[in-house]
Amino acid sequence: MTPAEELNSLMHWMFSEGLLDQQFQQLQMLQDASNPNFVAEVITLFCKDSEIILAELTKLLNQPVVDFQKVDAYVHQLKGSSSSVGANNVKLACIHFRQFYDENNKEGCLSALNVVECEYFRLKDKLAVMLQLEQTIQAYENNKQI
Amino acid sequence: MKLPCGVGEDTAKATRALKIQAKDDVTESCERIGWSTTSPCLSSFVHILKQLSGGDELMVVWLSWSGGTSERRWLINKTRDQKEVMKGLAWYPIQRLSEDLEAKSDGSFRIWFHCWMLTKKTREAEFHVLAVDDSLIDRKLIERLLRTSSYQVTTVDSGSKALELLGLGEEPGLSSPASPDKNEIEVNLIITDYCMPGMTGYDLLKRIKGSSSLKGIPVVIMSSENVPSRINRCLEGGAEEFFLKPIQLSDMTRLRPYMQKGKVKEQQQSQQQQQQLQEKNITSGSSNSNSNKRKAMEDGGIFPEKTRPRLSSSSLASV
Repeated sequence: MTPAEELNSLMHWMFSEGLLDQQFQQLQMLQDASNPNFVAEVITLFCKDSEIILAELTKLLNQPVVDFQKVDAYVHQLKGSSSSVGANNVKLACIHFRQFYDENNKEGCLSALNVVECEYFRLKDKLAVMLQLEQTIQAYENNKQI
Repeated sequence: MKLPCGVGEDTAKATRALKIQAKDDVTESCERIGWSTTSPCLSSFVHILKQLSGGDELMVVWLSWSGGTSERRWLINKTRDQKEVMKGLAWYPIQRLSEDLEAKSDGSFRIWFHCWMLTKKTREAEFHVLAVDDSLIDRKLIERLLRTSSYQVTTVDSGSKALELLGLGEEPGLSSPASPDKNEIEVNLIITDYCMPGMTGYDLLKRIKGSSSLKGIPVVIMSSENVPSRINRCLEGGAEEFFLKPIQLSDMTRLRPYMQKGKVKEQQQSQQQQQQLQEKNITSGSSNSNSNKRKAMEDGGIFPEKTRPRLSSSSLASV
């Protein structure tokens, strides 16, 4: 497979598995010659942001007395950013999380957090591959033009 | 806005290939766009061209397509030579394009388009939007969305910062006439997130609509949550529209009419205020009018060209 074919196949898979949704395509449409790294920048921001939130949630949920309001605030934030970048499964996991902190259910929250983390890291992995392939393709195209 | 073909390799390829450059200078720009799609999606292809052009007139100068036999048929000019294209040979309107493509398409074949686009109009950033959102990612997104649509953008992360920029003090009802050196910006539209810590988008809306100097600025509210009571409250509070997040490129086209309306209103307001100022200066003898005169002269003339918050504070002076 050429890198281009590999990338197409990866994207196809990511969309069909629900890792990404239509909103991600919106991001891609916003990238152009004047902003050639837009998608990569947004993804980087999202990953940084998400990992901070996940760390905070872990801390909060491991307190003897859990501040569920703060948990709500963080999950809401993560839900928002994942929705904005098209991180579909992460967003769904956040939506699912809500019922547990609504019930003040610590155990439920911990397991929901686990699901969010799994989805996030799964996505992060694939995004890294995607960016790598894009760079390869871009380098090839740059060389061709010379 | 849906991309044609749904999900699949064509979409990924097409998305990468579809690049339109917004040109700020006067010269015409020419962008080559490659597209790969199946024929039922023709209308969405044209729809997207229209969306990305921001409603400007884009003319397709050269287009070819090939059906299942991979025989290339020319719809418009045959040349691929950029110089020839830049001569602006045959202007092919987008509307006619969609009609012709529909006529030629055959449902059973894959159609591949290769087209040049020439942007005839200058894309000037005639409108300035102030975007308020506490999320960094959403600020980045909205900024890109707005710039792609040729608007000038300023982003802030809170309602209070927004008010500061607009020249409104912390306390309700207080304008800042005493600090003329504050750089107040001119804004044609405010787009704000609803859920923000401290001052919500709704609070910001009320402050703006409650200010004599700012109430003419159209405000649009965004939210990730679809709560009808919240939406109604905002619309009743004076918001022009309520967008559900995530915001899309197609949403940007809905902003223009509010900004255009706002500009007309502002011109009318400024004419009104110039008239009021004129009348105040005629009724002399009170200390009030002296301070008005002094203020007006500081502004460099009795009838300054632009109406900004400072000037409207003359109406406060009479209170």
